[in-house]
Amino acid sequence: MPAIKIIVSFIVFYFLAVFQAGYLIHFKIAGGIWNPLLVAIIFLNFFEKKEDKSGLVAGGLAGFYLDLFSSYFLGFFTLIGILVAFAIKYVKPLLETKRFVSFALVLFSGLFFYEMVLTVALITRGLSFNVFSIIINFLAGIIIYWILRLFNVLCWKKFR
Amino acid sequence: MIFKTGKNQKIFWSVVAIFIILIFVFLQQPIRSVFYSISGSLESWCWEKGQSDSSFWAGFFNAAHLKIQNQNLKQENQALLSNLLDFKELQEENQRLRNALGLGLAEEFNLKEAAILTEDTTRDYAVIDKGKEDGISEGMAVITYEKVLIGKVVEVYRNACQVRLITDFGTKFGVRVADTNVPALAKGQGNKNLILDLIPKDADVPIGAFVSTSGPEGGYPAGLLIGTVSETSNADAEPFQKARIDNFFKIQDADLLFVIID
Repeated sequence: MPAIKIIVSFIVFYFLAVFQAGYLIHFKIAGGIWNPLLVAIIFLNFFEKKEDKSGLVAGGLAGFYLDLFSSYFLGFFTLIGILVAFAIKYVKPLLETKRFVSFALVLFSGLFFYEMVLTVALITRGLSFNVFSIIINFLAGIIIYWILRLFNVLCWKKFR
Repeated sequence: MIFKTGKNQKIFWSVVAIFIILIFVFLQQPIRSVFYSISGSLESWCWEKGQSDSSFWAGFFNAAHLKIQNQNLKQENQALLSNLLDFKELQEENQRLRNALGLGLAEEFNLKEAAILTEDTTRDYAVIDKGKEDGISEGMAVITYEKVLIGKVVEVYRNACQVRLITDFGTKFGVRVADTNVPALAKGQGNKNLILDLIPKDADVPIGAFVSTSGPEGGYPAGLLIGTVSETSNADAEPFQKARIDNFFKIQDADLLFVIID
């Protein structure tokens, strides 16, 4: 099962990366854009079982694709992707409340951590912390969560 | 079986990690080259679609203000009618200048046509669809049809290359303010911002003045357009004047670019 997840991520992430670098870049709001790969890392790591480690590989994969379409050295975003996946795995048990609240907290923590790491890594270029980026990705994450939940409920009813 | 013990597992993952790092270090360019070759057409399609969709949505969101804008326009209409004659003359002059620039561009430089594939989300870098196979090499300048400077090629792949835009943080090149001929240093600030530095204190830098590259010693051929001066600051404590530039080049609207081959 983890192997399938990684293979599917490998294919889906590629299209998401192209979509992000070629299409979404035109929809920047105050310097922030929707980063579907980052949101995907958070989703995968939040919803996977405790003993499953494929979320870390998915984090690395998503980072690798971000690397391919960035001007930084290869491995920069790969490392950040793995770090974000690790951070979610660490933070998730600490924020166990109701499912949605827990997800919202983890989503926010993941996005905040990503921005922090990116800011620290690029500190020589000045302060690049972008609040809008967090807001956009947070809203996108919440919307996707509710869509998936609705879809899940509908499918469950249908099969029952 | 070989991962029976924790020690073996650690060794395995360490070897995998070292292997990946080595690949990343030594095969950076070939990996990117392969991916750009594979996905070039898809990236190009996404870029064009993004361009048209963003224009549509920009118009859609502005529609809410159309009523207010309409009222204002009616008020302004009377005043503008009196200036119509002047505008017509300016339009003709503009067209003549455009033609002159167009003719000069082909004669002045050896150019290679290119289109944007992707743009970096964190830095002012873009990838265009021409690479080694098209004779592109590092250091070549990239411009638009109107002779507006965009940036410089910094990394070349087989069918694509990476362009560092003039607005990227840390870029520096020599420029000249038109009319007054004042020399200055253009500095990229990131996020599509550009400023002018090292302007002599006593120099006259009018708002709206055109800024163009000063020559090869500044890193680019002379006479490439940059933008207009939008703001100046001449603080007593500073040894030089500074100015902000309103760039002519808007990457989101760019359709066709040219790489100066020589």
